[in-house]
Amino acid sequence: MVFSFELLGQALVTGILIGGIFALISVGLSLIWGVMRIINFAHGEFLMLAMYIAYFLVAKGGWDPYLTILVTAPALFLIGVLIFQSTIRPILKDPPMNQIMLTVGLSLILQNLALVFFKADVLTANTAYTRLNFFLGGVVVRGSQLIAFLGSGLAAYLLYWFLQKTETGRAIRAASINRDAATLVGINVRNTYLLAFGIGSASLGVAASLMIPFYYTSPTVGLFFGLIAYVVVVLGGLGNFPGALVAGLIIGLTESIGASLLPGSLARVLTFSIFIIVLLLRPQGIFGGKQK
Amino acid sequence: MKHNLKFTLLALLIVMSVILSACGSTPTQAPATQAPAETEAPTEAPAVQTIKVGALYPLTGDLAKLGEENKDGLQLAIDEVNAAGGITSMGGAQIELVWGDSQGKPEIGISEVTRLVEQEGVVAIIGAYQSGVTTPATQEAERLGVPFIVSMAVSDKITERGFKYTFRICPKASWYAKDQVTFVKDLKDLAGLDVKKVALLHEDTDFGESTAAGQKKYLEEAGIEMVLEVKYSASAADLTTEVAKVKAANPDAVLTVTYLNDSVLIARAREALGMTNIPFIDAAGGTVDPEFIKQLGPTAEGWFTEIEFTKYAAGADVLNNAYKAKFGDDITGNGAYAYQAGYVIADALERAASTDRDAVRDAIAETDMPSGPKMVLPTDRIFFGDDGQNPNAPLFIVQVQNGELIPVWPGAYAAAPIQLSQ
Repeated sequence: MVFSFELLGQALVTGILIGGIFALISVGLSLIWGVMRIINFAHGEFLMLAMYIAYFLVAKGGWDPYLTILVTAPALFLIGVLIFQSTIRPILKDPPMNQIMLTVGLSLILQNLALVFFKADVLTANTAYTRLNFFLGGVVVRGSQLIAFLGSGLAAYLLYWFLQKTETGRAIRAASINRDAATLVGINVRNTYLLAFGIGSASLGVAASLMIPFYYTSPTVGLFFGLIAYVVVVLGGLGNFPGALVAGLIIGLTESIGASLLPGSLARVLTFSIFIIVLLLRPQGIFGGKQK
Repeated sequence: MKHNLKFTLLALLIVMSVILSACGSTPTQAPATQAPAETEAPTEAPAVQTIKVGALYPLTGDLAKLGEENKDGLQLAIDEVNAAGGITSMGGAQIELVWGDSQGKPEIGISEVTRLVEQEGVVAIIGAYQSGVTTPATQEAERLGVPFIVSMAVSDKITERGFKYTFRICPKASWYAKDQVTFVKDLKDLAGLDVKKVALLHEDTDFGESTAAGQKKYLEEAGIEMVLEVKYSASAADLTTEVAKVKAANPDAVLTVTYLNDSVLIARAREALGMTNIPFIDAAGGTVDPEFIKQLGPTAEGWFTEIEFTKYAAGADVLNNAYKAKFGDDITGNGAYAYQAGYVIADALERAASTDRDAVRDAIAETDMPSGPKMVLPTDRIFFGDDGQNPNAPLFIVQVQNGELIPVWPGAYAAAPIQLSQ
């Protein structure tokens, strides 16, 4: 067993940076749950689609990876809105099992469509930021991951600000707290749902563009991140925005410190053990205390 | 009405899928009309005009592209043999390849062996690329008493079952680890790097675990200390911590077993952590995928990996040019080993001077081909041991140099010296 403070420092830095990305991926899922009480099991596949868009813009179009946000975020908003209108809206009042079946089905369809159109190849873009690294003491900080972390923080802050300070944001929150009361005071709940689903998806567009300089894309890339997002959202308390951010960091750190201490897939066991313990002891999530 | 429409669509779908699956299975049924061939083929040596040799590869399905590489390599060799006058000991008889399509499925592989033998009357079979198909297919060939030459399929146990009719030209899976370790040992003489401590870094599915088990065994035999073994899940979001762990152990060299996605993450982390002075040697995993170099660019430089065949090997240009002229692509390891199998069967038929399967089997067992235009593997001669395994099937160790995989080992077949950055 090799262990050193340098290694621990590396695990901490990597964990926090990756955790930031986990957090951004999760807030969209959390928002969608918070507003319309639907878990979108195709969340990871939406991220996969966004990563393909970002990848092709960067690799074939020569775009700066961070500029692709201008395309990926609106594109994912649109995809989210279209999918919501065509498939999710009609089953909003159905029993939860039907909704789960539908979004799981969606995820399988998207995955297999990606397999058909993009093949099973793993694609990585080599960008100007990919090899940008610097050392802090003996610990390497990957420039692209630092940018992704800061970008995630900014995106999450903007989303939070939007929900707290703008009229539309307040409408979304109102609809999530009490749908009938929101309707009574003149909020168009239907549009609010649409908007929330669109925004939740668009946040994945941002995450995808931030990830493309250091991460690969493949048809199954969404499986892992989708799974992580559910864990983060449950850990942070379903629908709890700040909770998802903190939980994202916790899971990032768990994965990375776990990897430094435990061999192979056991690190993953640690992540899901925390998940199960939280479900057993605090089913409302660590920060879910105020949740109804 | 609405329901009727749905029902009609469903019915249509079912009909279409039935038609499609029927199309898929026709190859297995069609040759039944040629059944009489069986009675003509065997024994009467002088009268033979063509000799039927079976070839079993995944020609349709997910692996069709790889199956094609095998097919083209084998066809090239047989075309050369036929153009050069065929099998002279049998009056210039021409070899006819009869293709079997395993579709990548073990059960179809077995039934194709049966068909090739009982309906086509082939004297021997060459195949079958996948271990999962080759293992049961060779068992069926053993039962039928037909020689089976394995051009490519690496599972160790294929030649460890005491079979009389199975012969394998390609290396065993465990030899990938063996050659990695031999290369590490040779680094002292070839590049002045005396490797005393080695770290293992590998993904933790069966591929990684079994190769690592081989690495540990051969390292111990070579007297090289294994200072650390790091396992990781290939789906991990980041491998910087894992690679940092390897760095902390301060090894002289690192042996890896990877898939493509994780090899990319490792290569980037290795560069970020300033470890390019430590050679990383991969066991023909993700690093041999052309995408590894294409996607990583300069970050891939200096990596070592293993490959079955390379166009840059000394003397390989003749074969590669012939292959490229005919099929348009560079020859791969699959193609080269299938090509080799074509010459092994031609050589055996020449010496057997008979289409009797047992005579052909004995002739294959006595194979002894020296290096030359008909023997393209990086070794001085190939032959088969009592177990049917060709013991001389070394892999090439190649290094990423200026964006190409350049062979640097075995020494006699190297195209460029090893480059180690300080």
